[in-house]
Amino acid sequence: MKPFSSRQKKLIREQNIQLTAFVGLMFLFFLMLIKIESLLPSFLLAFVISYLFSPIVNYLERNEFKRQISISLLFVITGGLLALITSIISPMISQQLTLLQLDSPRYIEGTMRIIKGFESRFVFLNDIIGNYDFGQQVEDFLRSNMGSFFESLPKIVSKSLTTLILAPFFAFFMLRDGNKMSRKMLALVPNRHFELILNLFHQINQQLGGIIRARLLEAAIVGAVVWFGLWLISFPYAPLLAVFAALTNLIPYVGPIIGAVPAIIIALINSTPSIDFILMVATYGLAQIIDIFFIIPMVVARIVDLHPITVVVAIIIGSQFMGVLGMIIAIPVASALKVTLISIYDHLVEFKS
Amino acid sequence: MVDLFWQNFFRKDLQETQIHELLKNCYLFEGLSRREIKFLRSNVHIRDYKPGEFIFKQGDLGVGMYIVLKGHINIYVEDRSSEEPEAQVITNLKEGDFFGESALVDSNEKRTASALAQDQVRCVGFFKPDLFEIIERNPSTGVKIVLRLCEVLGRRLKETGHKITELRKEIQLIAQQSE
Repeated sequence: MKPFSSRQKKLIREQNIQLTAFVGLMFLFFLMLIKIESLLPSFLLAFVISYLFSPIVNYLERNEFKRQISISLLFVITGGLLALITSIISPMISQQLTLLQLDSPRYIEGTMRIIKGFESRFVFLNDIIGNYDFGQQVEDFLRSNMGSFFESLPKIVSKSLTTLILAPFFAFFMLRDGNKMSRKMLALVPNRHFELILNLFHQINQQLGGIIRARLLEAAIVGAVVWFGLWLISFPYAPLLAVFAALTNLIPYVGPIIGAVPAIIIALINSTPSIDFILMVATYGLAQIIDIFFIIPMVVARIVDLHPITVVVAIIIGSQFMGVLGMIIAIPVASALKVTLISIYDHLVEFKS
Repeated sequence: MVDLFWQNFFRKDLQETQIHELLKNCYLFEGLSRREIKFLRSNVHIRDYKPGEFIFKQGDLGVGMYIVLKGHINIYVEDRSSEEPEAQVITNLKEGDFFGESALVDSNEKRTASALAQDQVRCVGFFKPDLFEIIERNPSTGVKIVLRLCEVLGRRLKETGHKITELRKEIQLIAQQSE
């Protein structure tokens, strides 16, 4: 029985046009996100918030709370808590930033001293790299960037304010209407590919949710360990260094090293007693040991199943396109791409064979 | 223009009532309260098919089931082992019937038959991600659906077992007659 074969061809042609239109629409949406300033960070942050909140909202819903009430309640409580924390730590952070601004010439000078010391120890390198004044280059870079960083700090804060207002707004509606929105979007998918794309959406959604929650938990634990350790030895700028370590920890492999560099420089410049220096290094080491031996095997590895080479290549590509933000989102994007490619491959090869 | 607006408005309302009724009367969702049916409605997909269009094909990835809201569907299997595969219609489905439910519990399994729309067909699709969503957000509703699903699959298994026994008897009879 070969029913409706000529009609079948016409239907397939129609569905291919429908699929092209769907893919085109998705592409236009992503293009708009990338092109419109502050829309991409707002959307990314909104996704992060909605992935973080959705298990809590679902938990409340399971306990007979209406979804809208659960979301509103969660936003009000989180907003209140954040306001409280900000009011407590913002004077501390601003005091630390002012202190850092005042101290910055001394740190630049100290960094120069360290570099000059290295240069004098490795004079033989001059024969290889020529008379390149590395120290001067670093000094120029630090002086211009440190100055401009403190000058543009208010501008950066006001700019990120747009993101900070837009992101929760988007997140609220993603949590409330996300299911309906994705259903409306899936309604545009042609019948022939519907089940494949629905399954793909589900898998990507599960994987992204898992990765985002796991990476943030990892960053928070690393940050907390660093903060506690540095606070115990009364190391300067402990909160700032902990926040920096937590953020850089989101970048796999290189992140933890970058995170420890400022603390090492501060210790070297302040001629920190060797016992404190060892304790400071041990704090960062302990944070990494907890991360590598407990959090990654128990939480992250179960979710992110990417080969180390894939991870490094993804980070490099991410950094080329979007700098630090690209390095942070490289892993979730690579995982989503992997799921997509495997599903399409399975569909085209295994299921059609 | 005004008539058209009111017509569309009521038609949409009518369609929603139809979907609610269909879900309420479907064996898989029997026993769900009005509130649960409303929640289920927000987790299903409405799909339209033209005459001659496949709902799914034998060998495709299957992730869920369909309930016929409107139109007629033929379910047939193709014997792909022979050189010239011949399709055999197993059953005809009409409004209220459901099919493909085993895909809700299978892990990435292939469809064992094809479903072809005979006329303009509208189906309600209920898939694995939708079932997971229901279990996650409203476990008691999820359990009710899963229990019904087990019942249906168990019954189908029993029917298949019964058919196999009958076929065996027939084969034995033929073998005895040929001796």
